[in-house]
Amino acid sequence: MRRADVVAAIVVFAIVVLLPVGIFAYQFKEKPHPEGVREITVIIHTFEHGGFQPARIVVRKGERVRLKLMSYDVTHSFQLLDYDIDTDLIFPGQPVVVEFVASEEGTFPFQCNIKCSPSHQNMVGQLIVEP
Amino acid sequence: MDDEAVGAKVTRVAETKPVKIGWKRDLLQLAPFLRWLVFQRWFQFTLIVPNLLAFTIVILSGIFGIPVGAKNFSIIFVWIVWWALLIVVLVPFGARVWCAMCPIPAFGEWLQRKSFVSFVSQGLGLGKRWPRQLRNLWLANFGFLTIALFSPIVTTRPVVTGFLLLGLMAVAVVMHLVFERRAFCRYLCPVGGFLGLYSMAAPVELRRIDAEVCRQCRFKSCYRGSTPESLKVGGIGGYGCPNFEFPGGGMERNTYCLLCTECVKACPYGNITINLRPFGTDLLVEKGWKLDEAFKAFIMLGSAILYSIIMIGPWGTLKSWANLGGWGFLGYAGMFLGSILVLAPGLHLGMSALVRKIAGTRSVPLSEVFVNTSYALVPLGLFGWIAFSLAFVLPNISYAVSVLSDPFGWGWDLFGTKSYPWTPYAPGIVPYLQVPLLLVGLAWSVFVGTGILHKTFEEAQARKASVPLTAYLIGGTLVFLALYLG
Repeated sequence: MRRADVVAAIVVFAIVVLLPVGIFAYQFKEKPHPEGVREITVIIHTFEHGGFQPARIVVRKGERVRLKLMSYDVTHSFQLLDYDIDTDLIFPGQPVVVEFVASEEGTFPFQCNIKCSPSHQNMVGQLIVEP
Repeated sequence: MDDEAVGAKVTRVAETKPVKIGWKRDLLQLAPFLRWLVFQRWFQFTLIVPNLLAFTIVILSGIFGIPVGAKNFSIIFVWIVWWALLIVVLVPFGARVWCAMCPIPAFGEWLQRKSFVSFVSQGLGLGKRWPRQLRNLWLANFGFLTIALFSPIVTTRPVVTGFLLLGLMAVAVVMHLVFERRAFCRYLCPVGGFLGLYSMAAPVELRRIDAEVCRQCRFKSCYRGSTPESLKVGGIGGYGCPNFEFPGGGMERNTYCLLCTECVKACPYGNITINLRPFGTDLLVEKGWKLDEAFKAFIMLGSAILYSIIMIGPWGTLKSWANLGGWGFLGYAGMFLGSILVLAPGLHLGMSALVRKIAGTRSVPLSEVFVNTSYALVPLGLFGWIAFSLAFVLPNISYAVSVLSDPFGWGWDLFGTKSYPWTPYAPGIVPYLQVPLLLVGLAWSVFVGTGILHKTFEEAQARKASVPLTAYLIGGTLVFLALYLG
């Protein structure tokens, strides 16, 4: 193999192998957070396409929780009123991050507060804070 | 004439002032840097690399990114940026130069050649010949029509775009390993067919310099590829035309030339070059006028009109049907395919019969008039597509700024432009651009149509026959104008 082909092979390898690996590593690797912070990504679709994913979030009492809320279709919002959380609009491609300390044990509902589809009323989920 | 004499003759041609053939100018002599580039084996590879990078991100973002088209790199960069570049710049000015830099067949070709850059005489794959009965554009026409039929889905759903490109790459790899050369590009690629049709209008061409040199040449390296014997005479080592063309044998149209410049590298006499020429030179070249190309002209012109109705027209119901809207989709599909495969050719057949009747001769078969006059639709079709594209490119291209920073819609901000707002550019002046474009397309089509009639009929007959053809072309333009001006 000539030198030009070796260089070309390295370039192609970088594009089709290293680039995707780099992209996914950058997006999904564990981000360094202050100790005790638990980051959870919540993907939001309309109810017809899956609703909140996950719709059931389980954390431990006393944990500091960071929710990264990402709309994957239309404009949504996120209300977790027992923890005084009520976001502004969550636009597709513009993640919103909320952070709180899970200080109370129990099961707490969260929901979308924008009429996002005909089945908007089903856009609910649960935060479960275990002892 | 022996090899050295032929070579000396070509050298004399190459070393004197730029060759002027009619209105043509030898671009490789006018631009020595371009000549140097073309004679580098890595030239095509460096054209492909940036596009491979972009297409890799397109496939990844399409499959794994946000499903919202306006926030996803795949939709914005393929159907807005790439499409605009292709139809407004690359094809009208650069013929099939996109094919030289297209990453879709790249893996197949690299595997087939067992090389990324170098010239290697022994390749990989079965090297089977493409079936004779399929050596035409019908499969490519079918592929384009299928994608066109589902284009409201393909152009708005990132995952469909991602898998479509991945699928095309996979098919191209298989084709390269089973069949010889770039059979995929020549006979299957759904884009290649219309690129070939419209590239006839472009002001560049790859052609032989001196026909006599090619007649004397015993290597035919432009078709067969370099051999040890031909390399002793000249050339830097090049593959035979990947698209089954024979530049030295008198290739007279751009339709199937991929501008990969392998023949330029392979020719032992430096007898192949790239010319600048008047727009549309190939449209009056009779050699090669065929029914499959004629249908490509109907498909393209018909699609431009139908897309103008469905995608930017005020008929919401039709748009929802096209968007896989239940049983309505069948109605839309019937209308789409019926208009392109039955109505458009039917109207053209009627016009052809009228042309023949008014010309007052039965010596020219109706089928010949039908095929020949279809090439008059090429300029109008091209300008119709440019006009249609402006209507969605200008309002939507600003999305490209934000998706560049966040190609997957994951909340990244790579270049600090993620929050760049949607800004429709020049919304009020689009019709003022579309009207002159369509009128230029019409004038050019009438010019080409008249030329075609003069090649088909006697002088006096052609003059009379131009009346219905011109009326037909004006009718097509009025349909566009009615849609754009309401």
